[in-house]
Amino acid sequence: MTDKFDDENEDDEYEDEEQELEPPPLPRFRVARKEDIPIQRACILRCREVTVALFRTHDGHLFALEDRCPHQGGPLSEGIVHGHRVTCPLHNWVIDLPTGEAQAPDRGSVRTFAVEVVDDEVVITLPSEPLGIIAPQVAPTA
Amino acid sequence: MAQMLLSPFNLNRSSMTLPTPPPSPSRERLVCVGNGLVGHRAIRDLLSRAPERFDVTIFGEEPHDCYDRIRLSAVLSGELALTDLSVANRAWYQSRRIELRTGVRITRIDRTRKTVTDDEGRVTPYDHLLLCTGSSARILAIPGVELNGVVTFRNLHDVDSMIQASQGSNRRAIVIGGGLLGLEAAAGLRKRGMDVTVLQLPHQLMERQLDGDAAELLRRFFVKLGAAVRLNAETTAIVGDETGVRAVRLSTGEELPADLVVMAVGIVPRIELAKSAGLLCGSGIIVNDRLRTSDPSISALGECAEHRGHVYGLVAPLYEMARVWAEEIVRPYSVGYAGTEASARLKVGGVDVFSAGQIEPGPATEVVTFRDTARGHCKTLLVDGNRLRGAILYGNATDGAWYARMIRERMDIADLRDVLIHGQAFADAMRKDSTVVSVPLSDEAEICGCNGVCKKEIVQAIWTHRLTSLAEIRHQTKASASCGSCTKLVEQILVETRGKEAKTTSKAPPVCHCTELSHDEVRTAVPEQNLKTIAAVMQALEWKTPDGCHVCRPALNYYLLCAWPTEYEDHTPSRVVNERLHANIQRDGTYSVVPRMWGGLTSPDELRAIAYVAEKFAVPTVKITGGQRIDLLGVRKEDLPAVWSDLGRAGFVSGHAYGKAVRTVKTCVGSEWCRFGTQDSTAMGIAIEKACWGAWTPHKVKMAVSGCPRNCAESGVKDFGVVAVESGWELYVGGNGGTKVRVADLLCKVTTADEVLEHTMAFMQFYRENARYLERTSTWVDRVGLDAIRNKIVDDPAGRQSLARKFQASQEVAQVDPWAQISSAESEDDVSSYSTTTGSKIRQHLPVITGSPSEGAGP
Repeated sequence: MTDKFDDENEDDEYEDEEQELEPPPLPRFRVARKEDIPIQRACILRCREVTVALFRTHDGHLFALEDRCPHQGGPLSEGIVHGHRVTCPLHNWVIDLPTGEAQAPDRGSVRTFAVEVVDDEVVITLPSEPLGIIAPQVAPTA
Repeated sequence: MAQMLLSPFNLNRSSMTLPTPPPSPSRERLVCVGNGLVGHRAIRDLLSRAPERFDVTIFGEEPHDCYDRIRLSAVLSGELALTDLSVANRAWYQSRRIELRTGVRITRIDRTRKTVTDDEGRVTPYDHLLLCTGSSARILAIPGVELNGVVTFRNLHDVDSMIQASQGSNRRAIVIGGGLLGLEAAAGLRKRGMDVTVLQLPHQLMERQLDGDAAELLRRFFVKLGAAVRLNAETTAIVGDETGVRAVRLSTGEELPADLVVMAVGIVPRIELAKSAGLLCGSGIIVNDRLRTSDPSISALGECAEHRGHVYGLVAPLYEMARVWAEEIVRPYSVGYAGTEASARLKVGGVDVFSAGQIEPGPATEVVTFRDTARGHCKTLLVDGNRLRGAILYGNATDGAWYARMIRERMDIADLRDVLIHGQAFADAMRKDSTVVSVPLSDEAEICGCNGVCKKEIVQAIWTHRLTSLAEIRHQTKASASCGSCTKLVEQILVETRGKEAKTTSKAPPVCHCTELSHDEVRTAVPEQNLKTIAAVMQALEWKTPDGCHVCRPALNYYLLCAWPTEYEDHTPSRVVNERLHANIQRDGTYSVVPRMWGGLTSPDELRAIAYVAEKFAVPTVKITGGQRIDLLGVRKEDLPAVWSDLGRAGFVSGHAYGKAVRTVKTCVGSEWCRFGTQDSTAMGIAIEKACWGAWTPHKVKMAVSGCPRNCAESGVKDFGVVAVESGWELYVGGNGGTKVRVADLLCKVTTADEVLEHTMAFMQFYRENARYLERTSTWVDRVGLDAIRNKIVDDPAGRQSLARKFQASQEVAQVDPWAQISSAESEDDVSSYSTTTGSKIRQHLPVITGSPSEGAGP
């Protein structure tokens, strides 16, 4: 091609579907009691490799995603949680919590982590032991 | 019997050297020769339409996966790494069951047997063959082109050679050819420190895209980069020996020393393979509107194809071909390629250049030009009667698409001609909304510049998703979802497409996709139906989603807060992060903190306290804001409570620089110091700020008080501005100095400071009660009209007093410093053993459960 055109970087999707060998199962960690996570908010888990946001939705479901918007890396844990979605605080990308997929028309996805509740305690599959859990700031009461 | 049927079948398969994946006998075999951008795009477009119909094999001559050839120049200049060019990785091919063979060249097509043979002698059968062989660089027929150090600019290998040649000091490069490729090579090599000379045979650079004026600016630009440009320079030989190139000889006999020669004198379609197979060829492989060659089982796309006498080199027509081809294969005869009238938007060594249509003026052509040589901008329009024939833009290509559409559609420009040269924004502003209605739109017309959405995408989305409203279109395509200036166009397209089914905005638009109700309907319902929580509103007004979304929840939270100031408990999860953390989130996830400084006044003690905090928390940036405050930027989230607490101890309250709230009251020094000052504007500003701070508002509110009509505090572009005059105070409303500058309207003139305060508070309360969430006073004043506001605030003293009293009542609850609240909540430390309020403390050891998650675990 000799020339460039204005839509040269149009939706050339770069699909990252690495199909590597089955990795060894990740360890699981008991990180919190379910009620420690306020409804429609998120806790933050810091691991060495990744920072994970642990969300609790209006209907009590729990979801864990990397705390990094696929757009510009905004902290999803600070977004508004609605339905099974969260809106990134930086530019309002809407991320589907179960799949980590950005909602149309935006495209991109964020890593998700399996969450289960065992005896009212939240157990997450993570790459390594979390260094700690940070609860959202508690609202000041008027 | 079964055995006999099976075995020959298996034998055939194994001899066919198709390692992965095994082809399915029911699928058609599609072979694509060429793994460049066009081949990749064509296969992608095809498989997105018919994922299961074909077994695809792609042959690529280069040993790499598909990469973005267009951006090679960015690799040469060092702006991008090689890996940034990757278009698809192996997983992409694997997941689509595409067999990719790179580093392999197809040497023969057997059209009778329908096979291709590669240079390793392997034979691959096809049902359909796609040729995307592209083009190669033209090589001048002069002596010395075979020397070491003579390269072209086509592929990764060339770029690699150039980068290697640039290493070392005092290295000299000669670029033959002053077209786009040559200039990009020159710019890249210059960036890599080489001494660069461009030799151009014609009398100007980029003679195929630019007129003389623009070309001259471009030449000066390259000279500024430090490259020499020689026009009318004819190369007759490249001189050197077995060690490599030494010099370039010109027709004048002059020899220019060189360590590297880049040959960029055009491209030649690669048609040898097609020709040897007996396919009809001109300068390219001749294809019809179905993009089939003279053999209907064989298609050709891209730079190697010749369609209706044209060989295209720009990427837009090539992508268009790929799309049409894919559509046509899946649904034969449904579409055809009719050629693309290409306009070229290029970036040459960092300069935006655009050209469309005619470049040379004809006998009847009038030329309209605009030149700003110092800034390096130039525009040339070629006009023929009432038609635009050509446009060349240099330095700023923003209006390219606008001109291109007029040229392509041969639009009548008679009533645009006066303003045509100034561009679309100017023309639209002059003609207000009439343009958008009078101009017919083509499919490719770009509608939403913010999000790059063209008409076709909107129409497709309307049909595919059966959209009937603007909100749905915004949701699907983002068209008009950013600045909103194209809203009318989008609506027009909706009406054209759906006719009567289109829901247009004769009615106010809904708050969001969670409801059909407008902002006004929702907020009226709150007091009328005595709704006191977000959940109650959603239930009573039949919200379509269980708990709303990021658009409606903050709005509802505000409406409830405004309606029930003493009762409503703020719903934290419905606040955006800034209002939750009382700080402003920055792009890197840190925050900025702005302490309130009444009227912009401060003191040594306050400054010491700020300096102390800035040092203690290693605040990277301290900046004076536009509203006369001090901004501490880059505070880490975990430091926020301690920062607040330190600032609070020094007597500061939050500056609300993050919220839909009263931001600042900017003042000048007024009669206290200024020799022109007529009133004490600083004291007035402080009084207003003390009265209004802490109020939540539909959108941010900025205020100012100036001590005389010189207006140093810029009251004329504030939501509420006060200007002191000898006889009293002038009050201005609805000003805005932001996205859309709007000069404030004079509301009224009053005499005493008490009157100023009463009017201010009444205005605030009316705005709070009447404006829609996220509506600035400027748009609100335009919508409801200044008279409506005068009626309430100026003409009706009883109404004004009542509004002011309501404001004061709600302020009694609202004027609680959020920082003080958080700091005290922190000290109570009433949180569970797992968590802390803000993360200042982190639980160290968490229990580990080994083993993999149980089956079906997780959400």
